Amino acid sequence: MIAPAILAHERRALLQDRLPVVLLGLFALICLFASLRGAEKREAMEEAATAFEAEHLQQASDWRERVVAVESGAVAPEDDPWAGLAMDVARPAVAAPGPLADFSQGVTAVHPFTSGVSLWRSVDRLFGNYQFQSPNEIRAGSIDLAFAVLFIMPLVMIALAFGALSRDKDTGRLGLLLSHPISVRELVRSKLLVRLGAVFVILVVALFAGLFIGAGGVPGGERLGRFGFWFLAASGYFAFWAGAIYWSVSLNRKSETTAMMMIGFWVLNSLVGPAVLAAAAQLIHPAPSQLAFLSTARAVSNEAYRSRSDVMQGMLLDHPELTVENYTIPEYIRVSYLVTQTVDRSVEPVLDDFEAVQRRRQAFLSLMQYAAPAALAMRSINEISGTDLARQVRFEVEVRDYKRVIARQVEGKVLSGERLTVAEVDAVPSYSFRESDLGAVGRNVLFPIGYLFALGMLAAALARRNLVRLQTRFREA
Amino acid sequence: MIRAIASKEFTQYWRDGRVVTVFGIVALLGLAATVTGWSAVSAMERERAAAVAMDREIWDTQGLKNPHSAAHFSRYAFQPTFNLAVFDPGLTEYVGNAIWLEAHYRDPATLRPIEDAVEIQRIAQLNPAWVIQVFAPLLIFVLLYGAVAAERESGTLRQLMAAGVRPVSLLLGKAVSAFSLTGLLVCGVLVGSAFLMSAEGIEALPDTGLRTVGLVVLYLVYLAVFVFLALGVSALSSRSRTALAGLLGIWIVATVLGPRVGPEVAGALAPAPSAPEFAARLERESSDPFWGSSEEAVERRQRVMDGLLAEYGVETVAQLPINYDGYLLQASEEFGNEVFDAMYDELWGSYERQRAIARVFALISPTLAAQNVSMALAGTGIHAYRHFADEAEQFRREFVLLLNQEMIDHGGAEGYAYVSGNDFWEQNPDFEYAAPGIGAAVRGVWGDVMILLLWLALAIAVAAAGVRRGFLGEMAA
Amino acid sequence: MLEAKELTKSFGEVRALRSLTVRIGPGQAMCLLGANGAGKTTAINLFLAFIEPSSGSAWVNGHDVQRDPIGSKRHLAYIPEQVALYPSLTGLENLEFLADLSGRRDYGTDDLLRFLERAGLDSLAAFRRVSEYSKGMRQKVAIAAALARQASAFLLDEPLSGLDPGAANDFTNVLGDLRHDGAAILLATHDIFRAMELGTTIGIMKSGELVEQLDPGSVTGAELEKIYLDHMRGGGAGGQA
Repeated sequence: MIAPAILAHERRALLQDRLPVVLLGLFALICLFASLRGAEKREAMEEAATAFEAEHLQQASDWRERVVAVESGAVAPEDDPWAGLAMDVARPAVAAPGPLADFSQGVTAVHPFTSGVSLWRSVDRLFGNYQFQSPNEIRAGSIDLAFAVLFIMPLVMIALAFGALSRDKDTGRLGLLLSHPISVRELVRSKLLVRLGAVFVILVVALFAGLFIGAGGVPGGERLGRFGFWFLAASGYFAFWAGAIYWSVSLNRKSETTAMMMIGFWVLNSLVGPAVLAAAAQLIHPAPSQLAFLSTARAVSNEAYRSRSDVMQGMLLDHPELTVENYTIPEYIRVSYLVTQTVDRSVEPVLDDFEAVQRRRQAFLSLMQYAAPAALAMRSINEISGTDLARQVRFEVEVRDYKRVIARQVEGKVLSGERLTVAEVDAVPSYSFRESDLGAVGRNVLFPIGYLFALGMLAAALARRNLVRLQTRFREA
Repeated sequence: MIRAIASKEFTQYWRDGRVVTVFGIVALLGLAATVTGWSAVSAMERERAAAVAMDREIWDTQGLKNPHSAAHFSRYAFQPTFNLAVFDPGLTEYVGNAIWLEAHYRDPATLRPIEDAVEIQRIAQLNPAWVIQVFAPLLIFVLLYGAVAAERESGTLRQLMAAGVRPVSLLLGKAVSAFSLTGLLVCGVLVGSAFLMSAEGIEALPDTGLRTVGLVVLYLVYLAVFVFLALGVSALSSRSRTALAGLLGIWIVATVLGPRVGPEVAGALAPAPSAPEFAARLERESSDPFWGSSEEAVERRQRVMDGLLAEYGVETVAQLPINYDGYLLQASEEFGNEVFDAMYDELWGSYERQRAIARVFALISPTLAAQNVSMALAGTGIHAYRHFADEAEQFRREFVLLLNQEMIDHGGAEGYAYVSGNDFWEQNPDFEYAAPGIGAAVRGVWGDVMILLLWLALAIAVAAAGVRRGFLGEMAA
Repeated sequence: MLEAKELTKSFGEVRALRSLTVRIGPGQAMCLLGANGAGKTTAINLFLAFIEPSSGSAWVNGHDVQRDPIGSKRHLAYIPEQVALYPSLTGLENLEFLADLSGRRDYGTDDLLRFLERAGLDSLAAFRRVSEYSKGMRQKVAIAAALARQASAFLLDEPLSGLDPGAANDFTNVLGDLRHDGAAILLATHDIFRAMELGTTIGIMKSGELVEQLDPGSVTGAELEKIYLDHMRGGGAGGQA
């Protein structure tokens, strides 16, 4: 039930009034800036990832050429004693930015996405030095579409809609309006439809603009699929806020009280909720100390190096076949390998701990997020975008596993000091990061998104009840 | 007169449920944030103390090792988290805690706490400074939006004027009441933090007393800006509803948008170097031109050798009374150090350029300026971090020199086969970090201080003009 | 037609209206006199379904206002003491909006101007913004809106207070015309003489109760004033302060 007269009047009022137009324009501008900036950052990351991978693959290929040269007899073995040195096997491992990393930057700003996997590096050092970003910049957070939708959109909705009923009430017009054959519900719904509808139109346009801007043209299938979920999540968050606003308007309070209530709710939902949830998750499931982890890795490395002869002895006992008489390459290579392996083995439980803590925190938040819809929406949006922490943790775990796979494959040759053959070089697997498939993403996010819609509908139902009551009581104190 | 007005205001606050609720929530948040901050800082300090001790122990017990190999293993500089970080952790979460002091390379600080944080912490991190920066202005606006506008609406302004109240008395009476209530909150949070800061195991920053006074003054000025802004807007608005809407708009721009938009725009205009690219360049440019096989590198090494041979007046390396390998290593360090200086200057320079651009946004967001000053006073800003990183780098250079010198002096013909023992390691010095005093801390934020004072002057002018206009308008009515 | 049957309203302990039973047929006008808080506005609010009766019922042209608030309002016009309109719109635009609200989107500008004219607002003023209007002019827009939707029952809550004598006279004349055209009018007022002029029945209310109903033809103004004051001085709650 919508009153056409109010729709027409509201549309005109919305366009004539300077403030709503400015606010809507500002929202559109922020969305546009967010899309452009998001696309720029994603592109930079993509370029960095591609360049990194290309450079390392080139190195690997140059290195393979040396093995080919020796094997084919083009180069005498003694002229290139290091060609095919098993310890030198190195491969890049890269996680290109998530399919919608331009929509939501998520955790990508602070985590590594490239790794030069090499047997010389123990697993705690696989990700190299990436901590060069400006601390001020990462502290401030970024302006992406997720920020525009999660933070700015509700504010614009509140600013446009908080006076939907109270404005007429405060100015004394409501009595005259309601003496006409129109229900309070129609009045409020028509007003909200125009005001919130304008925000939604901008949201839809902005998301589609982002879809094309980020793709730099026609988006591909994966991006489109993810976009579908993103759109759903953004709509769910919109519905949640629309419901909340509808409900606060239906309480029929003074304009100031309604505005304060909504801003208070925004603050609780968008700032306090996530801050408290984050603090709680970290308090209840504290991460193992990074510094202690570092110390452990170093202590083990030191100890292994110091007792290298024992380590070597142990290795030879395990692998008597590796007792090679004419061992020509320097001893330190074998030692380094064994030390690194020892470190890898001993930090494994700590790394598992880190991973387990993150899993426990995720489980905790998966439950508690229902108390803070902004946190819930953000987590869903990050997962859809492929910029969530779980994805990052998965990448890091996979890279460590990848190193172990390479180590297992060439260990014999490292220890025996023999060259790898071309066939063995070619048998070294390569790494590629696989995004989780759309179905899995859908299974994870559909329920939370549904919850947002449900909250919105619940609030709307409560609002409807309030307004029906108000219909015959609006002058009762 | 002022006292009468202020006391009436207090009574009104007390009877307004909304004010009591908001005050209660903010006070509770402040308390929670203080305790969280204290627990985080003491945990970090506990972990650091353990890591420092472990680092020393590992170093001392590494057994027989070539000094240059030891320089590769080297030691770590652990960044202390000082007492005032309980109140304002600033960049603490976003900069690394540990810098590896290895030979040939200037590492960035690694182990950034933010990497372990759950993703929703990126929305907001609960800490006392944040609570004050964001919520105290909101509280002030809730207290004061009706200060003049509501008096006018209810007609009490005319009565006050008839009773001989002058504009300045009204202004000060209202200002004093809101200011003392929020000032109480700020002082409460600061005193609470100070109490917890003095807990055992947390290191005190030099000039802690002065810095605390500075923080108190900073936040009182900060509050005053918002108090006068609120009074001005309230007086200039025809209705309290309009005043509230305007003030909430200011709050959002100042505390939510400004601090995020500023650094983001700065990042877009003056991009910092991409992390993987910078890391790769750092490694390449500090190493290849010296150790590579290019003509330039070969010549460079040749020059080092020729110079040394000439210095000792001998023909061949074998005739040198010192170890040549050690000398060459140290020469490469000195070459690398120049590259590090240039490249890190570029990196820090880009951070500085971003800060300068972001500072422009302090003109629309006093919060941004206050954050910068607060971090600087608390010793958790970018300059404190840089000071630590530079000191650590200085130590790294001296430490690597010490180890290379050991090889130069005693390595003789053994070169890389020369080993030192625990008695040598035990004599090696520790990195003792002394944080800079308050003078150095505030040097980088004068611009922000000026902008804050400008805000204060502007706010007072707006408030004075507004209240005067309000009185004149009422007289004309 | 406006009809109240045993209409009663309590706010907590306070009985704002006690068992009001009236029937105002087409062409009839009932003027309610009474001190502030006597129950006049409560009665009007009950007819508008702005509040719920504690017992009894109110009817407009055969519609129970509680059961069918929207249907009853199709026949109703309400003129409050202060007619608040959209200040940034012209009188004509306000009228257009109010007519739209009643479902009358078919009027052209000429039709609307005619309604304004009948309500006593000249067409020059109709194109000015309402922010420049006096209280009387705003009331005329509300009357024009009532004419536009062809309302047959009028609820007026102290529309005369604050009007200058000329404007009050104009207003009374327009109401007289409406009554002659068959409207049922319920008017709450403090103005005894206007009540005499307009009413077909005069009701005196005190403490929520209709204590007296008079035919204005049967008393003079002075007599009515005396009766009114006697009731007010008769003690009890709600006495004139």
